Amino acid sequence: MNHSNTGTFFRPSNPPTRPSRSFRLAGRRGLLIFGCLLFFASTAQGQRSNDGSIYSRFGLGELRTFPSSQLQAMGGGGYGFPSYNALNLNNPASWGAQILTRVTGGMLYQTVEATDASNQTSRLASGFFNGLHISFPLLKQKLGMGLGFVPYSRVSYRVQTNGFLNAEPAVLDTTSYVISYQGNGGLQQIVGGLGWQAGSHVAVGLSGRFIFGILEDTRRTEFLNPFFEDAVITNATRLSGFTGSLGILVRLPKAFSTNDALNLGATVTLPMTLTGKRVRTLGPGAAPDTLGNDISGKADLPFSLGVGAAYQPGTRWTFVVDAQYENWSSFESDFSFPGYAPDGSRSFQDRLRLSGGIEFLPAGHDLLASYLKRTALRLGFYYDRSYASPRPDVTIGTYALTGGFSFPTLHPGTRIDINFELGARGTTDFGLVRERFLRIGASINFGELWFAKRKLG
Amino acid sequence: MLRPFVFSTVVLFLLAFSTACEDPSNVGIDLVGDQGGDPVVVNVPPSVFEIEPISDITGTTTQILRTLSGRVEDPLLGTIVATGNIDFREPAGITDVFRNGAITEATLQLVVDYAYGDTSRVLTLALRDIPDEWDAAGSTADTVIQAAPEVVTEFNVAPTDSLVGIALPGAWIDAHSSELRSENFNDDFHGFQFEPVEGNAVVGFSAVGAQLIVVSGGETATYTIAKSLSTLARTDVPDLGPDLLALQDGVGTSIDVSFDFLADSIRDAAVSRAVFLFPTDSLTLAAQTPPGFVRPRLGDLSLVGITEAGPALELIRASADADGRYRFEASGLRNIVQSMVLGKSTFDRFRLTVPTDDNTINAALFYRSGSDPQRPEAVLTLTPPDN
Repeated sequence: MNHSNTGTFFRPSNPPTRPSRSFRLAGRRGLLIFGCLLFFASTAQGQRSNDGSIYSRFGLGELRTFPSSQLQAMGGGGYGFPSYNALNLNNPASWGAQILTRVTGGMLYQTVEATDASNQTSRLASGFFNGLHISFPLLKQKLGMGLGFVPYSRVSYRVQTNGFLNAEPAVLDTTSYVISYQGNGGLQQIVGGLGWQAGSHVAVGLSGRFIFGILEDTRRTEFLNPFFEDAVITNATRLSGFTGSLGILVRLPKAFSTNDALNLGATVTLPMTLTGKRVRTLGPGAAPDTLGNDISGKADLPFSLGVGAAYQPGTRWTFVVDAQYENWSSFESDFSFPGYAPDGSRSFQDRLRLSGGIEFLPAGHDLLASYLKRTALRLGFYYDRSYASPRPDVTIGTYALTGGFSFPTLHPGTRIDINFELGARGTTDFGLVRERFLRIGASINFGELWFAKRKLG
Repeated sequence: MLRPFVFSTVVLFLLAFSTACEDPSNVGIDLVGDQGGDPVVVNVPPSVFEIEPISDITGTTTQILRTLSGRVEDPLLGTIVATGNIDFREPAGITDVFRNGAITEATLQLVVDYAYGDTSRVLTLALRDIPDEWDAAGSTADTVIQAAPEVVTEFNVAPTDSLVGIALPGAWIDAHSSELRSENFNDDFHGFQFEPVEGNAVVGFSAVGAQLIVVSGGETATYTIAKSLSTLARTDVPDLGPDLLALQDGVGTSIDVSFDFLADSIRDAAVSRAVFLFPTDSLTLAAQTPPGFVRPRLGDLSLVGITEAGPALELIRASADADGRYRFEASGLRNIVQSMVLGKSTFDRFRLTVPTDDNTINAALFYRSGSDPQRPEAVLTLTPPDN
């Protein structure tokens, strides 16, 4: 996209010009189609919210990453990426050089196909909210603020087994039943912070993260005989806590040639303690009965370190590589979680995420180029070694290819991003399952110049 | 210019939706581990299954069904004495001719619609006046109604009869002539009492057929029943042993039932179904029934919820099945049992009672203990909260 590649840290790339008629037409149609996509995604969300990966059952759920729709398509890293056309949630140091006020929101739709060792398969689909970002400059290209509401983790699974009950042998009263094990919910995070452009080569940022949410595991026994009432037992763990992140971004212009730039960045997220309660309830109704007493407890989450580099040889190409490490082996909690026992008999593993990606914008900074040339193409990959596993001797890894298109609209600062993610997770060995997933995301990224002082005369 | 955008988005979403068939299965069930969820059937014997003396309501002024009278010595269940009390109301449209005329005839007509005991013998009942006002509504079987000491007449009833006509003697007519023709009949006349004299049966007189027919001045007036009360007493109750309980209508018995739903194996479980089963011993009843002796089986039973403070609420009714077993099942009962399993119920026990809307002395013998299916029990389909 439109990134700086010379001496200054940021070069405004979208001079306001009056869009052509075809440009405006394309923008209107784009917004219309984006609306349709959001409708599809919300329809998908209306199906079931717990139709995802069985591996999300373990730990605090499947950890989610949504630094920005741009970076999502480039592997999901971006610790060293000075993103000006969207808020880069992975590194608050990049927030200081903003010019436009930006609002980004998106939905995600995913299908998961799971296969076991006997080659049986299940297919599930769901849609969900991907994130909302807001950012605006406080001091132009010096100090910027970012706010975000994004998922931290997601519990989303459904697996079932069948049975047969001889309920009253004296009268030959029998029934079949289905037991569904379902996971739902997850942790959300509200992120807010400041980025400061400390000089032409260095930027730093600080953000606070309030993490909260409910992790639900539900066991539902459903009877085919209408004389039997379904039994629904839910364990709901409500957690919340606060932590902070510190980021730094170093820009090295003319690293290898006169027109290129190399950016290096790192973000440290401090350990945090989530506190909360676990409640067990019984009943399918709107007001289920509470079983026993609530259990209060805490969960100590580890620190996280992310490092990355972004290289821009010119205005058309961008390359990013990133690594993220989280020390989950130090995780401690009063609560038991699948894959973790407070007595130390089961613990989590350190998480490692490696990613890389490319963006190609044929037009570079040329706003008068054709629509196709102003459409950015993105490609990436990532490997995520999960912190939680069903078996202590097995590490669950996720490999995925990412990609997407970024379409310009009639508004110079606004783009519509369509992303995809095609990946695989797990193994069919050790009684586990291998999952293949496809995710399609749609995001809209509004950008507009706000709070500008008009000069008279 | 728009084509790439449209094409790419449509292709991606078609791809996604084409693979989005909802097909959950047991793939991955091993990752869930042993998390339970399989329902189990638990047969819970009652911790309490005892006779609770509750005097039966046998008096009514509305929907009067039957008035009992007689005396029966049941070799299995003891001696029961039933005394019937009925009062009449004046019919509409009585003319001056009737009021000013001379009563020439007065007949009490009764319809027999129930018999318990030795139907081969005639039952003799004594008819007496009730001199004072008495209450019937809500009155129980142990109520004492004082009748006049003089017997108006005695009459015989064959339990197999259907219609009984009792011609009231001239002395009684003379004594009550003014009352019968009075405009204040309803206040001045207080009815009759039927008391057993001889025989070994209790019969029931239908309210529909009970009439006092009076002829005066050549006109006939038919007085219909206004209220009824059957008083009952049981004596010489034989010991049935530890394994059986007799539940008999009218004589003031009900059965209190309690289950230990807070036992460790049950507590906090999800109750998907609750069935209460109370089997009866029809063989013993049949074996101890002499020739010609009729002992009608108990009809509907009510399962009543009893709170700790005492108030009761009828939950459900059931009749015996072909095996003589009372089977109570309803979603409301399941909800109550679920509350009990969670220790949150307002009820702390149950009671088996005979509904009060039909006067009988029907009986059933309930098993107290024994092996399935000859024992009372709650059959619960549970899903334990843990593995």
